[in-house]
Amino acid sequence: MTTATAGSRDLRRVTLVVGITNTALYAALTAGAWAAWGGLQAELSRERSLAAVVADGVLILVINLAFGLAVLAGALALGVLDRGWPARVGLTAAVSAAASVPRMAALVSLGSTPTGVAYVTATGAMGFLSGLVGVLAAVFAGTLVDRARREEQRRAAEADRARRAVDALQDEELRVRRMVFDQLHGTLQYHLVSVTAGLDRLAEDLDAAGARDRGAEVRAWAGTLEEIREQDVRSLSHAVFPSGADLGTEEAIALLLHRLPAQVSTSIEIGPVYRGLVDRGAAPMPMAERLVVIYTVEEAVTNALKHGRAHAVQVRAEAEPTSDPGRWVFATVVDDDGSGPTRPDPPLHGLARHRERLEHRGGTLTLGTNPDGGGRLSFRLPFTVSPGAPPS
Amino acid sequence: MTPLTRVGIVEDEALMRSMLEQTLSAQESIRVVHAVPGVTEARLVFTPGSCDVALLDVNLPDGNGVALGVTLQRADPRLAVMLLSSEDVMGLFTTVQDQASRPWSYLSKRSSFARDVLVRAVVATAQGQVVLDPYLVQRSQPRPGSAVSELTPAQFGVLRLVAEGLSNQAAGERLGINERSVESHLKSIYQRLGIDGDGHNRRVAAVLAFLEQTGRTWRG
Repeated sequence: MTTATAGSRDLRRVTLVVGITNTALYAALTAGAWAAWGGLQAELSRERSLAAVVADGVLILVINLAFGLAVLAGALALGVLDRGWPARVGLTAAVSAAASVPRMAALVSLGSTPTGVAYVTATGAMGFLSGLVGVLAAVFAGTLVDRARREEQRRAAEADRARRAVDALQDEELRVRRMVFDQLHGTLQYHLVSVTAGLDRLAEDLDAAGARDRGAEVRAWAGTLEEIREQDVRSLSHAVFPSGADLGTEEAIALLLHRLPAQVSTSIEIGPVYRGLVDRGAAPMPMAERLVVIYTVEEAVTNALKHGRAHAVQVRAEAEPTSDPGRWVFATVVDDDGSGPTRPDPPLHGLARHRERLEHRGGTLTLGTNPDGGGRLSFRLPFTVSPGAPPS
Repeated sequence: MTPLTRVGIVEDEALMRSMLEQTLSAQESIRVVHAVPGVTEARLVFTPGSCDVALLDVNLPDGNGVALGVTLQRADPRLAVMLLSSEDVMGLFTTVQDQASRPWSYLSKRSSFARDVLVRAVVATAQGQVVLDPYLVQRSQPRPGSAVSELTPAQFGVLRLVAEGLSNQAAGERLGINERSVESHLKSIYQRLGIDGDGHNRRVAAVLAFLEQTGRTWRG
């Protein structure tokens, strides 16, 4: 406990402040007591001039102040702060006792104080006790503050460790998602594409050989295989990593809107502030947040089509600054022309999971009605701008 | 005598890359000048002016073909770009068309196995056409409320073939009408879509409108 950490600096600081305060209070009290008892008597007996009486009062104040400061300085010089309580009490008592001797000598030498044995003993003992208690109380206060500060530091370090662990987990999750996505895209898709192409060629050969029926049949199989690839493999790869996510939030959203059935009209509008962040060449939104935004928009759109039976979906998003220049909030509104929610606090269906995910990250999600009567889903997600390399 | 088209290929699947290279190299009018597996190598070899058309796979192990295309075109605004992907990314490159110095084309990997389709797409893209994947074009339906949805079935049929990169003559042959009828259909299409300007740019604008105002349905 002898290391000069920020904690022990606090201990020293608080001890000094409280110690000096106690000393000043004690000195003022003794001067007051003297004025009420001894000094007042002297004044009344008119043995001395008023100036001399006032000078005595000031001297008493100064002597007691000096005594208190000497006890405090002595105790600190003997290193009471670095020791246990028994040593603290013992050392402070020794210092206080030692300092009491010159204090009493100085007080007795004044003209306006009594010099009887009883007075000297009583005043000396009270002074000794005051010095001891005043300084120990200061050390105790310092110790309490120090302990609270250390506890706070320990908690902060623990929270920091927890945050780092979560970040590491998240990075690992993203890495695995990417890996599965690349595998699905690279190898599996390529093999399926080659088989489809082989079937296409076979169909052409059959046509050329005059077996048009067989050709059509083979072509139908090729079409089925193509659908499986587009539907199943794609939805699987999209579930682990949305296409276009590595390009940007807007691109990924545009891609998923574009893939909606043609009967649905869609639009996406990204505000100037977020655009500005993108154009600055920063990687505006970290991948983890990006995935949350993309999957939430997707769920919102699915919800509007499935439960609100919408035919038009409009996505608007913008970044809003916060008091911290590196932190932003991504605010998104998804409006549709469907029936809208039937009651003020509508069931969230699949959105509940997304709301939870947003709230874990300090965001919010609300579902309501837009001015035209259709559904409106709004969500907000804080994110930190990572000054990344310009998009390559 | 068609001018020589120089092609650069970026594709991580080795078999696919060599298939593309062989198919294109077999053409007299085409020379493959680069064939590399990823973004890193592409940045080294694609020096400005070294090729006319870049064939870029969208999902590359060390990056994204769309972002690579944007970078290469910034360095060489003359470069034509054709994306290759095993999945429908039509929606993805509508977002890059606005910032591209030349509009991009897009071919699905399935189509790229068909020699005629691949060669036609590469040549048309080099000439400044926007070529969209024929399979996806055939599956495209106009989005309700869009200008494209107001075209007559005959006009929509012509626009589809133009989007596949066919010339007016080839489109006429495919539809069994003469070239002049195709031209008059195109005129009505430009009018309906509110496109003005000169011939070549109008054609590109019509294809981009088609791209933005249609959607594809898979099994419902």
